[in-house]
Amino acid sequence: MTTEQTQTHLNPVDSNQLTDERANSAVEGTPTVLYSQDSRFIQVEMIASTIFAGFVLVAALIGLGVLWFIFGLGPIFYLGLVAFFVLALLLLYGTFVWPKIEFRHYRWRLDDQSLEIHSGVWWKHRISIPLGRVQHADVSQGPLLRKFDLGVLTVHTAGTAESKIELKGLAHSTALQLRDRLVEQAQAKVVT
Amino acid sequence: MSASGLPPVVEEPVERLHRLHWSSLLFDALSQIRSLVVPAIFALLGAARGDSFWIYISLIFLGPALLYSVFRYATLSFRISHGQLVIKQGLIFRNVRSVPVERIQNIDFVQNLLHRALGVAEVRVETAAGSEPEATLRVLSLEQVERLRSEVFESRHAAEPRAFNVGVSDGVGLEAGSFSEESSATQAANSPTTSLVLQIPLSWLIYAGLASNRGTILIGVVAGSIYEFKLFKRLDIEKFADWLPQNLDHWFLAGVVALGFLVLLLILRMVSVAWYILRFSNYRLERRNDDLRVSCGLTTKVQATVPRRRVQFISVHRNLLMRFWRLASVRIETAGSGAGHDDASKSVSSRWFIPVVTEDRLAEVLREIRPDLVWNENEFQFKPMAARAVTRRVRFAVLVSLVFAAVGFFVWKPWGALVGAILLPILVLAAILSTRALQYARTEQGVVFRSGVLIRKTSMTFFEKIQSIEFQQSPLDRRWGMAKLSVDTAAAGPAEHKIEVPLLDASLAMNEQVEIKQLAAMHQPVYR
Repeated sequence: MTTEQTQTHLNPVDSNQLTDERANSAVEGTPTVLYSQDSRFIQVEMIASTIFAGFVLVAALIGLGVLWFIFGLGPIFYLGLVAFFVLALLLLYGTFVWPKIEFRHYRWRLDDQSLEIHSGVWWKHRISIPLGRVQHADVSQGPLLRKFDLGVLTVHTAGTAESKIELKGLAHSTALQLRDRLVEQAQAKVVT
Repeated sequence: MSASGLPPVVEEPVERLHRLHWSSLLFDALSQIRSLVVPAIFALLGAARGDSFWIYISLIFLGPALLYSVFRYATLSFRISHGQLVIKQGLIFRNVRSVPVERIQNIDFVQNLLHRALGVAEVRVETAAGSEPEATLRVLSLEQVERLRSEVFESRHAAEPRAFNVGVSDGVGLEAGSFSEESSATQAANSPTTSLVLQIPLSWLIYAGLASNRGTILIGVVAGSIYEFKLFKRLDIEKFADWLPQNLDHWFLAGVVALGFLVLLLILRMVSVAWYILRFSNYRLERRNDDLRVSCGLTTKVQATVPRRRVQFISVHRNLLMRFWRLASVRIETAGSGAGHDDASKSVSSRWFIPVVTEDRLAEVLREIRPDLVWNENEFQFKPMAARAVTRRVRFAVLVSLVFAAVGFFVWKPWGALVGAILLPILVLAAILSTRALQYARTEQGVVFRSGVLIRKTSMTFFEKIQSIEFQQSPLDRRWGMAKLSVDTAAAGPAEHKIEVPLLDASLAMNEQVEIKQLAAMHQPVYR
């Protein structure tokens, strides 16, 4: 863990709290500051995870019912019951705790040379895309994101493994500004 | 990007309507039959059994296919007008494709024996964008090929006097004046000059074949046919045993088996020598201004053009024997060449770009790909892997052997544990060698990564070709203070080597990411 990372942990800049001026400076590129996602993104993630967890739990309950039907209230059913509760706990954790942790480990920054995205809790990724390499960029919004006025910025490069890089959980206006700034840099579409 | 698709103000070249050569019918039918090879095999097998059912089935498939060939031949036409190559096809549903002439990168052709007998060739028109050829014309007579080429380049010349980088024909065709915008100052770019870069003599091909494992395809073919035709049942092994003299000495038998293996190995190597000779005889690499042109082939002649600006990645591969003979092979990756798409001309312009070259000519040849490239592997400032990288890999190897020993022990007490004991030295040795083989360097032009024990691969990409740089750390990496650094380029694939450097010191990797990022931002690619 580097000092830079620990610092940003202590003092994360939430782009939700940015005034217009500061949001502008994020988009214009202040090299030293790392920005976090919009904190409303945590709620979005929680809602999405709740829906997912709901489906899984219903499926697991049906499975449990099948176990009861076939084996009766025997040891196998109780084993299934334990597994069910373990699963439920994991899902609870994944729904209400994990999004916050993920949020804390997600950072982005735009300086005059590149867009940089840091992500990952266990597996850390830091990707830099030199500005001149952006082929095109687009902002998308699902129904949930739209409700919270958030957007996902997708940056396309001419690369192979990382030809599509997503920057998630930005305020929609920030995402649009960032896109415009990136597209300015993308002069042409043909790779040489 | 130049203004594309606008009709040129200058006077129009004479529009001529072209059609495919009559033998297109034949080749199209042949390719249709090839795509129906499965039912055809069934048909043959069925016929051998006296069962004609599958023959009818394949005729049902083949009939429409042949009709389609005739239809295609009758309706396809192409012409050049208003700076566009226009290909028309179809009668009721008419498909018209137009390709702006100045975007055509090159016109490649493939010619197999049958093509050569009839004096025709299969032609591919390629543009910079996309992984597929923009158009495939199967087949044109050589005269038509020449005319197409000259028309394309004439029209391009007329449409755009400052046409960059014109990949023209093979000496016979006319030459469009090509004014290359970003050609280096050292190269006289104003007049097209063709220079021979490399010719591969037969002796190199023989060495390369001997060093290569290409021959193992033979094992697959033989095993496949034994299985397919159930030869095992037909060969009476018992009878074969009767032939052998009785009461043989064990040592003698072992000797015979060993000799058999040697002979088999020799045969396999001979097959790969034959393969190399077949594919790469008459290999010539030429450079005309900013285009590199490869042509080769004994029976099937292939010609491909690679604009050198499009070279993203250079990868030099050497296996054990090649290192012993001081040989190397070079693969390149070019933008617009899709991975996985592997036809004859494509593979010559990527995977088999230079099938074999001697070490002393290597640097000089690579310099033709990039004039500023100084390829001296001894001079690269290789940065060390993390200090404990070998320890980490060895510890992992020991762990894996222990797991195997434990599993083996429980499956087959107590001898199963031997599996682990045998694996241990092998895995440890492999771990030490493969970790020591890893090398990473940053030069003035780009990033170099070397890896591999048996097949040593040294790859380089250039700052202006780098699309993104990634720093990655797994939980284990963090425990050991290490990280992986990867560099992404366009069209990564054919070289079968990626710049993904594991086991770097974390702080070094982070530092390198920043440095490469800055250098990549400084070296902007030149778009056209």
